Amino acid sequence: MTQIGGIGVPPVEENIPQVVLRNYGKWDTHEIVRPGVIKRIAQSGEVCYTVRIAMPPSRISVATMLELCDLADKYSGGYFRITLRNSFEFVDVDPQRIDDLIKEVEALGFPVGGTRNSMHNIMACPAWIHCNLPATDSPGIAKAIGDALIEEFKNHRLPSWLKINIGACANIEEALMADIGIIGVHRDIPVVIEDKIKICEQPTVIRICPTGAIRAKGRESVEIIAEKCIHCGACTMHCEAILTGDPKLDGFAVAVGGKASNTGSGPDLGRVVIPYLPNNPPRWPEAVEAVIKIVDAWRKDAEPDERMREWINRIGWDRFFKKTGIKVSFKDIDGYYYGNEFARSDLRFGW
Amino acid sequence: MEPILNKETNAETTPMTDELCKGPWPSHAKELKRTRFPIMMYEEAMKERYTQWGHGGMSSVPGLGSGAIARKSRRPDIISHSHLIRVLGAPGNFYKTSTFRKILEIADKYGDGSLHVLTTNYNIEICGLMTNEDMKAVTLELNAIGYDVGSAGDAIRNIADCMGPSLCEYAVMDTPRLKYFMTKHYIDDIQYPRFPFKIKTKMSGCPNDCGKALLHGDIGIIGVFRDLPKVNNERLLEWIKLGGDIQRVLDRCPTDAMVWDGKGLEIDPDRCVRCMYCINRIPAIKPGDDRGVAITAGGKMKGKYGPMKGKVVFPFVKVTPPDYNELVEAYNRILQVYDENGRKKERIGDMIQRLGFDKFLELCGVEPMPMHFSSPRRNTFYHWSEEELAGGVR
Repeated sequence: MTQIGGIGVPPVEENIPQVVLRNYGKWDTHEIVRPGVIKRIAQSGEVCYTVRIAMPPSRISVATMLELCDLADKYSGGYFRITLRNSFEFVDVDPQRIDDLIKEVEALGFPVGGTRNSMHNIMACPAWIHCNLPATDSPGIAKAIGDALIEEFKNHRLPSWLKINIGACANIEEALMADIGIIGVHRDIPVVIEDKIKICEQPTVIRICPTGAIRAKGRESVEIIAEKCIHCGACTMHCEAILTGDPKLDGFAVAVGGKASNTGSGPDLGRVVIPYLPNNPPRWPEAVEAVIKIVDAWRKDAEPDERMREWINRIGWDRFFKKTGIKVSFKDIDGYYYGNEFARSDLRFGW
Repeated sequence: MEPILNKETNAETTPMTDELCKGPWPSHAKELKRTRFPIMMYEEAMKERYTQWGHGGMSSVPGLGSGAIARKSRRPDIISHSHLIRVLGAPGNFYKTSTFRKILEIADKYGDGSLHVLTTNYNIEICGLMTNEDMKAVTLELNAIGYDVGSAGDAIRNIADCMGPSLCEYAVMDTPRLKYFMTKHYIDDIQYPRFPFKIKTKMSGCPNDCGKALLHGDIGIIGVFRDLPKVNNERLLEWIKLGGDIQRVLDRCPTDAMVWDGKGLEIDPDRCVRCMYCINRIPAIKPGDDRGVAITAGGKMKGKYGPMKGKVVFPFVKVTPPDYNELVEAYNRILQVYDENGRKKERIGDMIQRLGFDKFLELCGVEPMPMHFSSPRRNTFYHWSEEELAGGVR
């Protein structure tokens, strides 16, 4: 029998263009020639141009990838990379032909941009396309927000970069790690399907609940203690016979201020500012409106080079709510485990 | 190759998905319509405002390591099930069209012609597979072109990396080569799940942390330097002459560590925190030469205690290719502590919360340093061992 797996990944050198290999670790600086086009300059004086485009949220077809591969063959010697925000980047493009490439790739429907002070590519999980736990549809929201903010992707008009991530349930890490994150929110109590629950191991199901909201019911079934449930979906992920989600109750929350870089105030997770908005497919007007409201307040008020979180740290959360017009609710006050740390213990208010 | 369109599944009216095909942003709905993906599953979901897919997760296919994800359907009238295979991303996420076309060919031959490029853990997903045999065949064909599957189940997930020194001037650590080494070294732990829960490992080449290693990684490996940033004053003056705004950088240095007298720049060693801000803004300032990595543990979103940031476990570890002994030793210690102490379905972050960070560091065999906390504790509720009572504080 042929061995399956155990291979690992292809060697570094295999997929990297020659100019990159020659200057590996010897890059000196870079310039953004125009939004989406980066000129990397090596110590040796050699240059490497990259062109970045937005990608459709979550899914892409083989046919479209083949078209992009054709363009990569034509313009970048067959090399490309996918950035950490899932943009597609042509690596080592001839500077004379960048305009042609941009024309061709825009004709295919891919905007060029997403560098420096612009909105970067929007990240989204598959949600309704291929998942059993989503409370909302990330790709749909991403598409709606992308359509509304596409000019910010193509131009450097924002104070600093703006990253928007969308996760359709409480498990998607990305959502709290961007300047604006959208997180799917379940509000229902999970339902146990009595005639199917036997197929799940009772102890595992009870153990899986982070708050102990699941207890044994007889020898083969379990029941859910409603007031302990935090709607995290852990039970649904691990047992087929417990279902979370209700079309009438599901929706999403909006978080702001996540950031990974150590510059400024350092890395931090975002904070939830809008606890719930309803699903409204296919265009999610509530999500688009909330994002635009936050972006506009930030754009108007922030100093140059100030990320969302730095801006909030400077003006304080009280003024953030005032300037964005978002209403504060009890849901904004964290009462979960160590959440009390977030309560105010000083009198330095921003009236 | 011609665009793939399946007339049968895409013939019905789909007003909601059609709406999502409009507009200037690249559309996933348009993409799905170019494949054999059962678009009615998505259309119905939007109509019902509820997912039409059923239970799923890592499935163990006999003869195949992790990497296969099964997914049932709640709508057997449209499709019975649809599985997918996760392909480990290439180092630096660079691809060559000649091999990538082969991946696309495989995706088209066995799957429904849709891909997820990339997932949040930087894998490529080949979607729409129907049988175990297909998943095995996909893996064999991927193996033949040097790619492998993984990143599912309670195993080490894809060891994700940033582009590192391949294109970036800030990188102080060679992430793509380390990814290649780590994936080879830990391939059994990646493909055969044996841990209490998943372990996402993320790497970033510098403290800018584009790979979100600290926030996102159960174990994060981040390039750091200990000496001061290097300033080339001649080049700095040149940069100012060309219109560089030094005042803005001075103002936005988070610790006011830059002393500028109009002719030269000095960095105050008592204030600099190596945050990378000046390095990002001024090409005349470069990272220092005393380089290594910091290893963090416990970043995550789901689980008992909710979203957590990672915590620094090893503030500085030397990077010594080709065998990376120090780094592997440190990484193994975290794995071992997790393996021995983690409860079933408990992420590293939750385990640290339950054990206490002090206890966790002790189990990892780390000497306590000021780099391990942002402030010391404010209570005196600690435990004393018999030896300590006899011989003083450790």
